[in-house]
Amino acid sequence: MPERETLVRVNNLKKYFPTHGGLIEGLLTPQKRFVRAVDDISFDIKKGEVMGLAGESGCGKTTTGRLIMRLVDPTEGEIYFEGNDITRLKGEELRRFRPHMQMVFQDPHASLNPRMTVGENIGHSLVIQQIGTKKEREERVKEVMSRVALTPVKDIYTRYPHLLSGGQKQRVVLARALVLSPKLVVADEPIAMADVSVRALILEMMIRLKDELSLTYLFVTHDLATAKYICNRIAVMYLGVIVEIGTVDQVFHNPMHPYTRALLAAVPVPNPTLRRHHIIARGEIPSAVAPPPGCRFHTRCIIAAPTCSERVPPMVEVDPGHRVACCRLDEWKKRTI
Amino acid sequence: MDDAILSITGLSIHYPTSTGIVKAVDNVSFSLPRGKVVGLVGESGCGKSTLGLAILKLMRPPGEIVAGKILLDGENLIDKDEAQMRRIRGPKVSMVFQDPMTSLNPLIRLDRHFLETIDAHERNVGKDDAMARINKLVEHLGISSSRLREFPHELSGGMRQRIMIGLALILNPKLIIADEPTNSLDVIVEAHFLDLLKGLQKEYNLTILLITHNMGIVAQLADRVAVMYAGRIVEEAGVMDLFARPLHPYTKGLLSSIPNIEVDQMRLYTMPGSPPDLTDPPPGCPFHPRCPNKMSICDKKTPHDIITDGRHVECFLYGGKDA
Repeated sequence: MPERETLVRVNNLKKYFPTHGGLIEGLLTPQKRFVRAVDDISFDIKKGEVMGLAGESGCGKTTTGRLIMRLVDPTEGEIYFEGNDITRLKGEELRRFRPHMQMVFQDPHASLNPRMTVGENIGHSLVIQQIGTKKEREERVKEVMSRVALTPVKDIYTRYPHLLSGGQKQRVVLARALVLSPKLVVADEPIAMADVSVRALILEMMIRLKDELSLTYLFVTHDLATAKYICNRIAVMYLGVIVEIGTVDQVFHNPMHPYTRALLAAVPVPNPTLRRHHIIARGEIPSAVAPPPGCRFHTRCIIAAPTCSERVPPMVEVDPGHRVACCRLDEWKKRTI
Repeated sequence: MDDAILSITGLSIHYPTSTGIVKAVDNVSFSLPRGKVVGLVGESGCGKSTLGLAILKLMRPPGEIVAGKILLDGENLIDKDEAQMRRIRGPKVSMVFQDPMTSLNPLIRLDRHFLETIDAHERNVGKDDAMARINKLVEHLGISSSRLREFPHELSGGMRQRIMIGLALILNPKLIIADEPTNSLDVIVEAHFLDLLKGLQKEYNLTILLITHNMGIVAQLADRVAVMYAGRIVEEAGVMDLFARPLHPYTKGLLSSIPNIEVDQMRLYTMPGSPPDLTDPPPGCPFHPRCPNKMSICDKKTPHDIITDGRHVECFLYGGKDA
């Protein structure tokens, strides 16, 4: 693959959410406590690629997507879009910037306005951005609708969301994200709510649209099989940090972090001849309010050493573009699981 | 099947609604061989959860069984009244629901969940004996018995789900119905839970009806698989046969449309359309509008009881056209 230009660059991004304890807890512990949802991550997204963010619930993948979208303000760090710092954009400036990035949310039913028709839902951002006349807007909406195969366009345009099937609703959400011709689409678990038989259709459609419209995707998912299918590169997150990042080929065929290996081994494979026994990580994800010291994964890691709780593992490049944060890399390399 | 713990014949369940009758389960026949795990797979709305609930006659009103038989060890559950059903639910057949957070009572401690269950079904069990039994079971599930004094919210999701399976097992039933038991769990915790379930199944020789939409879970755990579409079981086979050689076009489509982490796929099969509205299902075979192999008979007649090579598949590609 030729070296691609960078579209988004994220530097040392952090997002801490204050926790709301009760009154008594507030009196007993005077200092404020924070959920460290995203805790110092850096990565970039290249033009024209599908960058995946994967991990278990609570790992910070959704917050990362929302930070890049500027839907929440970061606690620290910078976000660059085509080289411009967008971290502190506000108000009118931010509104004018927004068409470059759009989002596809997880639950299509909850993210459409039930009192607007399909056409109004899709075209609403054109109204907000004051683009075109009413007639031009309608034409633009219909053009996007036919791109996502919401046909017959004329019928569906005036329909309300509750009359659509789940797959159609997700395509409306997709159309709404595309109507402003964005450069980046952040898709947060776009197929998690869809029926199994319509998931492939949405995935294939997203791949086709990416090529047709020169899009770049940030694809947030917990489903590694889907990530492997659609992504070019992937970052694996655990408790607010990136533990491993690389091309899909590097991360899936040569996973180096014990957490990535555990995740991959745990995926139930739809093939009964490949039945596995997977005792490869202990317990469950700890609280992000007080993450374990040192390597955050050490409490569940099967090769953890005493040093793992003392030292924060640095990101090490093991292969061009393949980076891993693990103190026990040398030990791990010897094992084959 | 000779030694079936449960066999269902011609079962239909209807939900009358303002827009018409929803045929949630439509003339379904199948059986659960003793000591096996049977996967019941299908998409949301296909009737798989309704079928699971119907075995214990727990469908939500206004749903009702309009036809068919449910034989548990030879006894027809359709004839049982509510009092008789209560003696079956728990000691004979029990259920693991998908979301432990809404299935456990947030106001009572975990030990009371178990004690109440025992109390409701067994007479003359002293509290000490009951607690000894509970502690033993819970430790066996990998949870320290000291945690039984806690409330449901104090446990992690994986532990809550293990408590759910504990509650299902405490009365020693032989048949467990598990409805999407790992839906709320992350993938590593899910893998541990499925290992635990498989281990318990072998240890107690349980029969499990595993209801799920996840083909991966079925492939990993089930001995037999029944595929449901629009209220009907369209194909049923041993797990190896089903995955190696799916017969029904819906099963074929489903299996080739899911990403597989073990394979470097080029393209996924995209099934056209979406599952039908069950108040107004298509005439004939309900899958015909989405079927790549549609024939002229498919929208006129409904395939039924078609057997090919000893396998049950509801599709005219495999015969039955003259019946």
